[in-house]
Amino acid sequence: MSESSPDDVLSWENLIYLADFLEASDEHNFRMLGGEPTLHPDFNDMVLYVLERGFAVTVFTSGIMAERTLLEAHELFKDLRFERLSFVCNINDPTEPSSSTAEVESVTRFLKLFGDRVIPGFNIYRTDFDLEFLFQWINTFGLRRNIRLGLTHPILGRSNAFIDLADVDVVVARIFSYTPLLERLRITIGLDCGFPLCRFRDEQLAWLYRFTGGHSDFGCGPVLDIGPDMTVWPCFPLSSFQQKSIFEFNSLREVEKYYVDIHNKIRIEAGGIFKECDACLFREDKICKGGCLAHNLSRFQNEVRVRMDEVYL
Amino acid sequence: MISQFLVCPFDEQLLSALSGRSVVVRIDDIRELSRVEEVLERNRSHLHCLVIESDASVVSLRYQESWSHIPIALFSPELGRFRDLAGQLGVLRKLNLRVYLPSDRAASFASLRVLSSLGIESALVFSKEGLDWERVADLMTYALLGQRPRAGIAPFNYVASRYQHERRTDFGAVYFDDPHTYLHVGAGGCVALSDADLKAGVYLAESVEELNNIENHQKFRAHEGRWREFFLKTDGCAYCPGWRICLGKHADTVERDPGCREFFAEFLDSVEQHQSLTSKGKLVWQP
Repeated sequence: MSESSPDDVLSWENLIYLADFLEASDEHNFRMLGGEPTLHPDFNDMVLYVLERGFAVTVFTSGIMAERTLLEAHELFKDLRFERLSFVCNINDPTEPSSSTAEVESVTRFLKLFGDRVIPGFNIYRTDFDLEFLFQWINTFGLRRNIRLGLTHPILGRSNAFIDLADVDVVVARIFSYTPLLERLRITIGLDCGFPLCRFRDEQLAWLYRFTGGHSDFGCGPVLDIGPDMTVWPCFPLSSFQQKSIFEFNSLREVEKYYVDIHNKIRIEAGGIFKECDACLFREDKICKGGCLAHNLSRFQNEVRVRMDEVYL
Repeated sequence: MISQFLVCPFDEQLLSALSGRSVVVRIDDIRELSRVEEVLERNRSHLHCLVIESDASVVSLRYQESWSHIPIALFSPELGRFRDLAGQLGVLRKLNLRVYLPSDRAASFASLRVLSSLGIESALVFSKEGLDWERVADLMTYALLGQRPRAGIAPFNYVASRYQHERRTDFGAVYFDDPHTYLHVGAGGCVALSDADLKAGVYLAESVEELNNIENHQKFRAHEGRWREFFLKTDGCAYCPGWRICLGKHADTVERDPGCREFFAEFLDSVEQHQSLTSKGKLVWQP
């Protein structure tokens, strides 16, 4: 157990506090994100600890990790059931120029050992994305046959690559161009938050219903992130928005309520990402949340400050 | 007859002299455990607790479920890697064990939380110098006011379970350092009020033969009233808000390191808060 932790690394004291906090909130899943959580010097020990506390653990990783950490992890966790420990691995297209050979080797090394407990994820940040490599990797490494598709959104206060609202239709069309292959390979897709319902045609929704068992969600709400310094924020795109300390709350429900209230206030200012969202019956009935809030908030930051204080950074 | 437990080293001749008494036996090698049991059984002595003073980390020792009937106080410099603890947790949870870790190692503060959160009783051993009182206070808050029920961390939970606001509460017994509960016997049979006295050669009696009348001994009675001496100093420990639970344990260092004052005042507040949170409410007459 390390003597002390720098501020940007989760300490054991804070890990234990969070385990207590989640347990007291009747939450049984412990999700570890980064950066890259496997870079933590005590990563394997901390996963073991959280498992010992009775949580199911999900690690969000790029799959790029030190060989020693990987081999230790395999030795420690190989006999666990998938329900107790799983990985969501965001996999980049290896043919992209930004993917180095060393990175690809590291990811494949990880997938070889942990493939059967990996849910593949893919972040869509351009319209001409390719999923075929992912199908190949699912078969090669025995990954879970469900792809988590994330639509990239603007990160408030930062400059990042994301899908322009005008291109959402193109993205949806591209996803559905893979349906014959998805059906043949018996691979399902799961849509991450922020997809607007209105950009899907009825037959596409029917396909989603049939092949995901009705589990598709067109939501946007707090997916709480807690940093190593115990700062909490509503979700990744809003990582610099309305930060609080977890110590200000007594339970996860309290934190969620705090951010849901802010979400709701912002939705009064602008119902959704499109003008039509304001009058949309599906949004009113909460079938669709009106797309990712980060789009609304990004827009507000460039306006004259006439809205309620909560919407500004 | 005396009511105190006798703390002594593992010395077969000495234990024979203490035959029939309740003893606390100190060893430094866990492998001596079964031998201690044999000797005590032969002497018909009662083992109140086995103190293991190990140089090795907690996880490096090999524990056996068959020891579950033996009360063990394990003093160790460190816990060790969690993965090595995880493999032995099942057995450790079944043992009648309290793990003692030193405050002069920063990792101890996290290790004590780990043990406590996993249901293993533990204790912080205060170092004489250079205590990080803020970390001690954080640990105390965790032990007394944390969100989840867990195994106690001494001395915090010890004080919280015994504190009465109209009385002094001495937590020295956590460390076998309270002559009302423990007396220390050296290998040669000398009896002392504390381990420190024993090491310094300050004896209460020269032989175990004198034990039966020990509470009437002048030195013992003098020790009884020693706490009053703190009231003779105008700005001494007795005027500190935390006096009722500290009882001047850090009097030697308070001038150089006054952090103890703030800590013990906060400790007292937390104990009262803990008691109010865990009190069972109004108790009506009982038949």
